[in-house]
Amino acid sequence: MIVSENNTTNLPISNGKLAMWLFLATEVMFFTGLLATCMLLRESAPFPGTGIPHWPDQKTVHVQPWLGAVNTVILICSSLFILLSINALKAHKASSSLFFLGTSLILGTVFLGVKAFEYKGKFEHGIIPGNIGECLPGMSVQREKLLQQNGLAYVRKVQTQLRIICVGVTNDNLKDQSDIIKNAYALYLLTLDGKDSQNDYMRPLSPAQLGEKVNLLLAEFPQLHLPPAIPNGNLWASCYFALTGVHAIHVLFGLAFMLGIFLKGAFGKLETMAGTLEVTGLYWHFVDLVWLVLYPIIYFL
Amino acid sequence: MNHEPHTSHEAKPRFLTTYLFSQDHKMIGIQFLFSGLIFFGIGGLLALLVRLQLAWPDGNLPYIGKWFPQSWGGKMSPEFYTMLFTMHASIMIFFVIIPWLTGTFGNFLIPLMIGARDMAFPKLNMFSYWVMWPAFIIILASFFVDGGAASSGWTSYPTLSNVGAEAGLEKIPAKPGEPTTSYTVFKDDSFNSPAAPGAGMGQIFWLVSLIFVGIGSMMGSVNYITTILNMRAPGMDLMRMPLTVWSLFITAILQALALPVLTVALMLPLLDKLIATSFFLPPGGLSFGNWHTTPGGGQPLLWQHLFWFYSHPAVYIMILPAMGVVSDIIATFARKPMFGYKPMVFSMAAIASLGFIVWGHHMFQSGMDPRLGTGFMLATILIAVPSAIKTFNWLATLWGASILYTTAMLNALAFVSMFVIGGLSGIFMAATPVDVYFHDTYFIVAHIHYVLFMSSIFGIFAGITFWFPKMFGRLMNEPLGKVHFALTFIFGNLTFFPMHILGIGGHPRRYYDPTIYQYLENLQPLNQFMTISAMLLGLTQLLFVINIFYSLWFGEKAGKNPWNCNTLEWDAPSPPPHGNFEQIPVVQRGPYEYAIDGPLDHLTQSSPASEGVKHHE
Amino acid sequence: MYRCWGLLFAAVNLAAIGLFAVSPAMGWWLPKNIASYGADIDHLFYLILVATGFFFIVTQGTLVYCMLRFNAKEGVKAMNIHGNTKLEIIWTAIPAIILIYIGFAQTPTWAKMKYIEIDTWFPVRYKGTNIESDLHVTVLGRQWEWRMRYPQGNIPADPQAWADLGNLHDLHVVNELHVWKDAKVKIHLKTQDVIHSFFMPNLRLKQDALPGKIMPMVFSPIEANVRYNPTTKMIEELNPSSTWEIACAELCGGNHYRMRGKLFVHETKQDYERWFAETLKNQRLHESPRLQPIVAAGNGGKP
Ligand code: HEA
Ligand code: HEA
Ligand code: CUA
Ligand SMILES: [Cu+2]
Repeated sequence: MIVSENNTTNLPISNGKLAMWLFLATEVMFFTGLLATCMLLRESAPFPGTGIPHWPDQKTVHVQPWLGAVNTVILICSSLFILLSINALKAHKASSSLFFLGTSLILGTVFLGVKAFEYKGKFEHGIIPGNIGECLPGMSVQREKLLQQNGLAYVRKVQTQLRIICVGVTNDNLKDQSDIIKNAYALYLLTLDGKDSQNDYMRPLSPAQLGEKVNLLLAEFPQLHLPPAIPNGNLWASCYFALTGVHAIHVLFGLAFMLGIFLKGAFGKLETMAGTLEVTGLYWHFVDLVWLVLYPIIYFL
Repeated sequence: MNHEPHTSHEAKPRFLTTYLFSQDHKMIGIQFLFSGLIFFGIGGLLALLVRLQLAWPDGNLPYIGKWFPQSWGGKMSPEFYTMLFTMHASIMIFFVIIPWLTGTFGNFLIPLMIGARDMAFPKLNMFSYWVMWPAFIIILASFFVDGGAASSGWTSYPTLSNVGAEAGLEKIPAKPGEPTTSYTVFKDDSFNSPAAPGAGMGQIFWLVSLIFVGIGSMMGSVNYITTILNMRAPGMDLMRMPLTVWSLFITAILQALALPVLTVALMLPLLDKLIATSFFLPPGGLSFGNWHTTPGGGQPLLWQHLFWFYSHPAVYIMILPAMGVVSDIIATFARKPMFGYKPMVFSMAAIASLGFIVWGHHMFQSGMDPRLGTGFMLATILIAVPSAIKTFNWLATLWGASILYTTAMLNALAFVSMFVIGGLSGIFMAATPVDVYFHDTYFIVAHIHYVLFMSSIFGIFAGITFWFPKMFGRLMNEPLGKVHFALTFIFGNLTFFPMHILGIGGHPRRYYDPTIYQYLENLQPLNQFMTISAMLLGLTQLLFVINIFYSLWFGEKAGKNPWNCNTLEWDAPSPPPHGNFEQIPVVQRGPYEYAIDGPLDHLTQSSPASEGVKHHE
Repeated sequence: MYRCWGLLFAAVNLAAIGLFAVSPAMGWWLPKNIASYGADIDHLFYLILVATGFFFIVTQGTLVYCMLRFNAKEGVKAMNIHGNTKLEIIWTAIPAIILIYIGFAQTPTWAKMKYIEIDTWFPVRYKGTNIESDLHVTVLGRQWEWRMRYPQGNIPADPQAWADLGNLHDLHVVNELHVWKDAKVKIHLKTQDVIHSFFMPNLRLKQDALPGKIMPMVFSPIEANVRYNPTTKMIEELNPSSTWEIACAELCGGNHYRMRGKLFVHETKQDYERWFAETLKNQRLHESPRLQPIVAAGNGGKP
């Protein structure tokens, strides 16, 4: 790195640190942009039919605040340990510095592990953007008629899944099936286009009715993994995955840096990395801070 | 340093590190220069195709008609036309203006002008050039993907741009005899979009490419700010920095604060397309004929806010460095101190900060609350005040000057003249009621080209001519440069000025064939006239390319300081070696000591304090 | 020789002024205004034209003068001036005053266009009430045509709900907007796919249609261009040059340029209502037993 020639008006901090502060300024803008987007979408999210803003509550989308709390603690500890590591290195205690760094690294990894566990839960419940049914009770018949065309996408999705589940099932062999298949098949029959030809739009089951039925069925047989129906669920999932995903990527980068330093340290060269470690610490605190903002917004609001 | 780009076989490793993976800020600047030049050619050719279509929309072109596929009926298809101007604008803005202004000038000039040996982070700097390459390749490749290149305008408004096959779209098959219930869930791996052919894969490429540009620029701007804040030579106080450095500094801050928001903005439609999120899908979903999307809950308008929150500051990113460059060149060739150095600095800062609160002026017709519109209108109009300060200071610098009409100076003067035209048309559009009429007409297109082509590009031409001797040790050819300037000035005005008239006539932009409208019929001769001028303008640009390559090898050798300029870069040899200066200069004074009393005409920033000491030439 | 450059700049600028001067005579100018507030917009346009024209002439004139006058001469040094605070203040203040004047001069027009009552020119005090309308029309943009829907009796009971959902007895017409002279028209603008922009040059009016939203537009034409002929049951243009067109001003895909509609301003309300009754009758004839929302009038946006 090229050092500045003496100029009294230059800033009294190192280039690396200055650059990291600047980089964090860009990061602040990035997360502000993303968070503002999500908050705005949330505030203007319509309640089907009534126009009252509505947002899925934590239960319906299977968010567990205690998991988030665990993760928060983990990340704060990790941030703390990297601070200890930096201090230890300043006091020229390379080995304890390395130990603290390693702890911080492991905690960060655990954070990602918990995150992965949470994601897995979401996937299992079909809470994936674009897969969640949205036409639900509370929507006026007229409104639904208007949105019928679009709600049909959901009907067809459920229908296809049900058909796959019920492959080979006919009225004749229905008796031999398990309860779960019986229920699924019953629902499948309901989704079929029927005799009702008075109304252009009214199929045997409207998206809203189907959504209701699917939710009931899911409550009974969670292993069915049909797309659930959650008002504004798609939007919620979009925001959730965008926010936490972007944050997880930041964690990943931080971990990569720390791993690099740790490996160097493992070969006894930690002292040469003092500046890098400090800058990485700065970054890591920032990642922690972002999580502290995200946590209440995602898990409690 | 050997600057002939030919090299023998043995020297290959050196060739790589010198010319390709160079960490030297000067070489990186030069790399940006040539990449920008290539893309200028591509973007310009696309523009000429746009013009061709506009002049002869019925497509009865003698030769060119044959180039188009039979399926288009021997002429350009409307979809292809939309791709043309989309890619024209995207390439010109993101691959020409920004690389030239911040890439070339930023890299080449900042360390030299502040008396540093290199950027603060040379490796990061190299990286910021090389992440442009994925962007270059992706944007070029996007012409050849399924459906063609992005075609929703450089502004890429959803829902034209964000709907993808993955977003829950389905086709209702109309197989005869099959009951209507046997729908197939339509999963199309090609990411087609029902909205427009180019809104599928091409749009994805466009988004990814711009994300790379954003990352590169972000790294660049962090590097510039750090360098300027921390690497200045002794005595180089902030208020002694040349205006070019000031402009690049402010631009870098603008970029650092605005680009992340663009990255967010670009990420969201990409997610919409790839993993079927619904950020920009409205609650009721959309219907394209037989295609229906799932209901979303998102807000199409949100993109416009995010996009313009970046893109309005971005238009100042695209003009401020040119303003800085032009200020330095005008002072040099007027042989007169810059009039009002401090007001110039403050007005740039004012433009930059006001630039953050005016983005709504692009959205007056998007159903904005009238009160909010009024606020944006007032803020927009106020930007004209710092712009006015700059204009009047340039004029005052010329007053009582001793002007040398070099090519660089002529281009810089053209910048001043043309920026006034481009800026004044902005006032019409800032006025909300008038903008209701002018929005999305050719009046906007005229404005765009007056500020971007006629101002920024003239600033760039001026800068390249001015620093060419420093870059390559040879002067550009003056007579050729002057011919190029005069023709560009004339044909540029002939091409773009009538666009104002078109706009007043109500000619909407992005129209493949305006002649189907009765009220536009009598504007058609103007369209043809502009096309012919544009062709000549395009040909003229070849002179510039020829001049560059001719002068690289055969230009007159330049000394250290061919223009008798004051700033530090002229203390270094031409071209400067690695590390720039034999000895880091000590700065004694501001950069604009021209026409000083006494025997000397000018005092360089580094020449020793005692007056009358003859400074070396 | 050096004078060439000053003269070149002068020539180009004079040519620019010249083009503006001859354009109205060539018919390259604002289309005929038929909106009640249109004159205000045109006034504002001329006001800004004068203000910017003034600064254009001042700045370009100074530039050309300097270029002609202050070229380098042997042995003559430029003035050594670094600035002048008084001058800076003057040329900050003058444009600022003019600009703020322009800014406030336009707020009444803006309010008028939005049909918002204001009790003063100061924008903060908008009262924000819409006028009563004589005629409601829903316009649905889609790739690539405008679908107009007219209610029976001109004013639906609940305009918002009607705009949202429509009514079985509505009249559907594609690409033709019918209103009558001096009617206070309220348009509910919608789109079913991408963003479109409803642009009527003669009314100086433009509004984006946003997916998922219903955008209001209000206007009142002060001139008629068609007459309804009760014997032929056809519409006749009053004179050949009075075709008023509707365009789409927001890029909406390949055929964006083809979303061409026509504006018909009937002379009287009776004329409009006769046209409405006749067209509705035709629509009923073409309707299948099931409600067929769009009559065959759809021509895919062809001119
Ligand atoms: C380098 C690029 C650049 C620059 C510098 C500017 C500068 C300005 N722009 Fe422009 N603008 C664009 C690039 C730029 N713009 C682009 C690319 C678009 C189109 C985007 C798209 O839709 O595709 C656009 C669109 C655009 C719009 C949206 C129009 C619409 O879509 O409806 C508006 C509206 O307010 C606007 C206003 C202004 C103003 C007020 C300035 C001011 O900064 C200008 C200030 C300068 C002066 C005024 C001249 C000098 C001053 C004087 C001589 C003093 C005296 C003057 C007076 C008192 C009037 N611009
Ligand atoms: C920096 C920005 C920039 C530049 C330089 C230009 C340059 C030109 N532009 Fe462009 N333009 C835009 C930015 C720019 N434009 C933008 C932002 C839009 C809006 C797009 C949208 O609506 O989304 C637009 C839209 C636009 C339109 C409107 C399209 C429409 O709305 O339908 C038109 C039409 O005439 C046009 C024309 C031109 C022409 C003739 C040039 C000419 O000046 C070009 C002349 C240059 C050349 C012809 C290059 C010649 C060079 C060589 C030959 C060198 C070759 C070199 C090598 C091979 C190394 N442009
Ligand atoms: Cu519809 Cu453009
Ligand atoms: Cu802008």
